[in-house]
Amino acid sequence: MADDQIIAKIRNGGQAELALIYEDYRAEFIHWMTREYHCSMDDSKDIYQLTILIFYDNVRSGKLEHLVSSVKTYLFGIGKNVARENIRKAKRNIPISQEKWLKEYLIDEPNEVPDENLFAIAKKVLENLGQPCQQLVELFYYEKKSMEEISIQLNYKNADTAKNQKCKCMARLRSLFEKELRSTPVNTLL
Amino acid sequence: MKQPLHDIDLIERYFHNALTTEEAHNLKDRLKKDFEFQKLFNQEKLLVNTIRFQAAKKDLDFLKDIENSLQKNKTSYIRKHWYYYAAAASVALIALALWMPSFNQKPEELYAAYFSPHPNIFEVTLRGETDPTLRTQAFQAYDQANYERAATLFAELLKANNDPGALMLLGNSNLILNRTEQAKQNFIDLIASSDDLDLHAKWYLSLSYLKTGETAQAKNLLNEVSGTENIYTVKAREVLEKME
Repeated sequence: MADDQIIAKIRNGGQAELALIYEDYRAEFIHWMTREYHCSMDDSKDIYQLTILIFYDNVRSGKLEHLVSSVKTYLFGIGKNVARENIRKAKRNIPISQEKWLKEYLIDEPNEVPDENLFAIAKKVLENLGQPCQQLVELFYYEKKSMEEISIQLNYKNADTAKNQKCKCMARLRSLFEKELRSTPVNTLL
Repeated sequence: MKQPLHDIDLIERYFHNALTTEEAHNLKDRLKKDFEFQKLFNQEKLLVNTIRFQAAKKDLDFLKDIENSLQKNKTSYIRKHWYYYAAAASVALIALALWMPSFNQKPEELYAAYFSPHPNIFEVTLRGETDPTLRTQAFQAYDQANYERAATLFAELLKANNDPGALMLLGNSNLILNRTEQAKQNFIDLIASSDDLDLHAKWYLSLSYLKTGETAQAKNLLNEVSGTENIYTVKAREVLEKME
């Protein structure tokens, strides 16, 4: 398969192709990261995993449709940015925190760090949301699938049914969150 | 708190960058003046960000599973990427590593240098299974490097189902167990039946031919694999160069 075909497979949920890409460029990437940025092996692996996640996100969101270079060049370009950003933020080369980095990457306004207490409550209620709601909201908000695609994947009658279901799921999530918030001694205002 | 549906719709469209300039302007204005709306907006933002974060965390865990699986197969992995480790060892070995490609290496040596078991990427989340299915047991055995048991279970599984992932790992198990002819047949069957894994099967079939010294068949496949940009291109070209 050529690189563009691999990207098309990944876009359609091909985790096998993602895993193969992970394995294939791993050794070279880690070697390069330790040499160029003087990262430890563990940090290089962490940066590589974040790099692959960004690559995956770019493919899924449609930012990356056709490669002008190779997958390798693209991955190394992302990796360079992750490493430099880590050094810039930390002012020195310190271990990268994958979770912190992910939060900052995923939130819409990078300068706003979510309140840890509220974030913990939101995580808890999301875990209690149950299926198929959990999968549905992930498909919509994380995988950025259209309602049409979601209706096919989750066997709903049509896109409108999927949309109604998503509205119900989010209403349930809000309700669970507010209930949990009321029973938790958190003074921070939303 | 009962939220007005149009406010929720407005916020949803903001998150999808689907607001008109005027709507975006009004939203920002309301955020400054309307406390209830600001509260709703912040709550929705928190929930959406949490959904995204938790989903990304699952993907990250998937990558960590792959990493752990590669760690388990460290011996073959180091053999496959021996030149990196040689380079780290000493300057003398760097020179040797650079010089090595000009050697005409024996096919069996090339097989040993380039073969590493295909990772189990078909059935990743297996922990905590209390009542594993035949499929789960087969992949678990493979993950535990119990290739004899894995081969038996994969063969059993394939009697009832067409499962390209199982066929790929059966081929790998047979190759590791020195049942090379059976492995070749597995990869040939896979090439014929799976568009998704055909290239991977060709790579492993070429390695199987190298193992049995059938260089002409190996070269044909390696030329095919290296003819397009894919994840095996570099390795296939390296092997071809070393065969010259």
